[in-house]
Amino acid sequence: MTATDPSLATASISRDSRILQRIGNNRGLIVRIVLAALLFMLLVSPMVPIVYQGFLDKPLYDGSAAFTLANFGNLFADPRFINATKNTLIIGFIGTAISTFVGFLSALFLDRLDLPFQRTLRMMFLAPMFLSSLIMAFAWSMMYSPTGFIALWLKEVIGFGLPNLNSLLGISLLAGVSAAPVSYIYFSAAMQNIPNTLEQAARAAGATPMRAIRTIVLPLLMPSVLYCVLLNFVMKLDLLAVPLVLGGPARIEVLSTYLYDKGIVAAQVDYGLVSAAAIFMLILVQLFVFAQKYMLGDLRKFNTIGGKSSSPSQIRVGLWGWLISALIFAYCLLTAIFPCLFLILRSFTSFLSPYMPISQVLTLDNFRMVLGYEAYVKSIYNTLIVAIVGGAVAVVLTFVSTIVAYRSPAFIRSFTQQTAFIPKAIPGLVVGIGIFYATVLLPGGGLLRGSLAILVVAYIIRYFPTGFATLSPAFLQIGEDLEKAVRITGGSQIRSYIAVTMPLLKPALLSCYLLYFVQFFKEYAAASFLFSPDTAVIGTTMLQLNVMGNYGPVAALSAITLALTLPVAIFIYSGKKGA
Amino acid sequence: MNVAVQLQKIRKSYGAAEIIKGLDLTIEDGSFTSLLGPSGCGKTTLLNMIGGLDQPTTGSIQIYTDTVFSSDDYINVPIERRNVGFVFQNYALWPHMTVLQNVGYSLRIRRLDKMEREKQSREMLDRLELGGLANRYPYQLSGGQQQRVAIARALVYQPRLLLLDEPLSNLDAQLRERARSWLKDIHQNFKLTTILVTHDQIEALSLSDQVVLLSKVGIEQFGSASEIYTRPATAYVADFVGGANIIPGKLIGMPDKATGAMATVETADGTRISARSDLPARIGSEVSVAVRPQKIVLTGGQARSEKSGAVVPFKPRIVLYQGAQYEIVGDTPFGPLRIQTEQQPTEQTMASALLPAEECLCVRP
Repeated sequence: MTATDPSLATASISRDSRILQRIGNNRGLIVRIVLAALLFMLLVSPMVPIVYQGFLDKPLYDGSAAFTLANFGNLFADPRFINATKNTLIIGFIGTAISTFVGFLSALFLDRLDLPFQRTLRMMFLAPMFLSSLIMAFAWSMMYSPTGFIALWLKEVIGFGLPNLNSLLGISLLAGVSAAPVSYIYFSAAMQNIPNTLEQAARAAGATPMRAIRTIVLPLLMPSVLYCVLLNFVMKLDLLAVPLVLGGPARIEVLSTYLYDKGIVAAQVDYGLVSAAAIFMLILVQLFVFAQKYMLGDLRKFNTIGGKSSSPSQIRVGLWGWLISALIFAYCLLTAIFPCLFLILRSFTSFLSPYMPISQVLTLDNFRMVLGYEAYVKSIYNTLIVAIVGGAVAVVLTFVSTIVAYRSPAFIRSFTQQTAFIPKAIPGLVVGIGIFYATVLLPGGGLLRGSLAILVVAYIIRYFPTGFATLSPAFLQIGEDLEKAVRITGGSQIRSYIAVTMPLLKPALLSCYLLYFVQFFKEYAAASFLFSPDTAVIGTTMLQLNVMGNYGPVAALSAITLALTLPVAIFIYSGKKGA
Repeated sequence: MNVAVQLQKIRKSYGAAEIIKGLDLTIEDGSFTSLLGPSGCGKTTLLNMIGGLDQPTTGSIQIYTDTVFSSDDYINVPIERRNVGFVFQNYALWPHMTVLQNVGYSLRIRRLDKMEREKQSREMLDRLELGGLANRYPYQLSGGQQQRVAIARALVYQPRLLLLDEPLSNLDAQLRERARSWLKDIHQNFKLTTILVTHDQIEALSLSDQVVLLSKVGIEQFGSASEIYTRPATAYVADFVGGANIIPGKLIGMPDKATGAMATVETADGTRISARSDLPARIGSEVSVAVRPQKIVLTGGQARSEKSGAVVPFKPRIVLYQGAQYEIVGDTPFGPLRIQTEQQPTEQTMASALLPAEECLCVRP
């Protein structure tokens, strides 16, 4: 056998070209596998370095670091940590109970009862969804805390104030109330998925409307209730602002503030301890995920056979409706509208107290201070950039991921769909810490760390499951045949997505973008580990100002945030009305 | 005759669209009545109104001696107090309850104790041959079993009426035929006034004593199954039930019972067709002749047929072989005609067609 043998040469050439041919034929599949793998790497990236660091005795960038279990020993030996865990669980349970209960009742009342001013009330009830819990915490604190306006005023008028807001119960209350709108949306959607006929069948069998809801709708909502409880619990673990603002004065510490203190505020950061605490939080969440799955058993018992999904009939309640509407209105006033109005008022004054007439304290100084100080202006600017540009990047990623998740062979499909929901069980703070560590480990991470891009990455990981869940149902409604029709007429695969899928998805893509925009605007927990002076956002600036006791500028920043997000919120609402 | 359900001057509109325009209907006690019509004719709405799932805009509904709805007197008895059995198109079995719990639910509401509840539920399940499935969940049942459980659930509390909303449409063709005779059996067993909504004419004809044929205009015809088929009152009924050629024309000769003379209809092109007629129509009024495609005889090349009737020249366009028969679509001087025949047609036999006078019927256009 020699190199000049012509037959051998052609054989090897044709074998090579066959391999190339095969790669070419499967280009679409290969691109999908690569994309699915990249998505998986992105979404697990915060967890890997944390787990790694958790078992190291020195910071993970230190070459001499060695394996250890001491971090966990130290963690559990720290009485502050034990105490914080206890407080977290208490706030988690009470807060979750409040938000699940309020969310369920409001979904029942606002969706199923024939109430006066139903639509307006629904908008008012949902509005706090667009507010960051940071703003809510400031507003509540300025109104209802022992030194707050209302508490002092009540003391003056009737002799005694309010129960102390700066307590575990107070924190739980605000944590519960601020998560109520999300719970409402969750229950509302779940109730709409239960075919109307199941309820009508119960009515025909003789059940009153309320009994039909109690015996048919409620048991069928069980999976949603448990899922909502889980979601709420993770949200409670994630809360940083509420325990920081309300718990700070009373020195009440929870896991998130413990992490915040150990990981950011402390002069000497103990990386191992912080990681161990983060791992502990992850495990805590996983325990709840398992418990939820175990409690439900065979899910088919809850699967309803889809009929025509007509919106369920509204139950007439007559005069009771006015009372219920009044109660809901009062709830909205007390929990959101008054505090926010008060915050806006506060931003235009130097000092607010029931002992002083407002006319004497009116001022624009707060805004002058915020807008006159370059670092503050920059944080507003940064927030806008992250929300606008980051939101766009997130939508593109989500769109590509849905294509991979729903237009691929089965194995990539299920892999991607499961991957998409991984971050759901990671608290925002942990995402922040994890991304920070990841940039320490990865080459070129330093560059990323100094830019806004790192915030965008963290935010995308954090909110990807929500965005994916928003886009998926719309995507599923577009039949694959429509895309195939493009390809039959001669268009490429990518062209079929651009020509057919994207235009049809326009409303869903828009609402996905707005969702990212609002969430990115609000988010601060993930940012608090990642920001540098150059990359501060409104939330982190507000937290710093609050620590310094500058409540005027905090209120001014809140007012600016409200002014910037409310138009978007109204736009989303008016869009929904048309649909 | 005992009246089970009486609807009077029922109107229903959604916004500007009026779906039901002043409808009156009386349903006899113990009868099996079908509401038959195409989708969008308001038949399900009508059933829902009787059951209380929907309200008429105006009108009144009476079930036996109770007025359950009256727009004039502001009466609207809620569903749960009408005591009717309802079987939904998708059966609406409660997925989180076993078959026994599904069936026993209504008895629980009626405050029967557990022993009695179980006894009655099991009796009902046994009667419908579902005894072995008592502890299954709905997702463990086949479509046919689900349908029967839904009926057991609707019958167990001895309702005054049984309302069925297309209960067979979710079954496959083979099962549907069996379920049909089973439904008829149930009706004969329980002797319960039953109202069925369907768009399937065979279902309506084979099951019911009375058929209400609805169109977008309202009730086209109300009568027994055989009346609807053999003596359709309107062109719409003739075509909807069984299918028919509708030939428009003018009445030029009145029928005469004494002499046995047929009515004569002249089409626009001057063709004269003899036909039976029960219509109270006058000479010169617009009528249509309905003739079923399988009754038309191809007569080309034959000198005479033993049947009498109009012989018209025919130009075949399409011949479809359908196994048991051939279907031929072609043209006549008065328009297209559809013919079904068992004999293999030839070019010669297809040259002309006989419309037997006995098989032609004058109907309202």
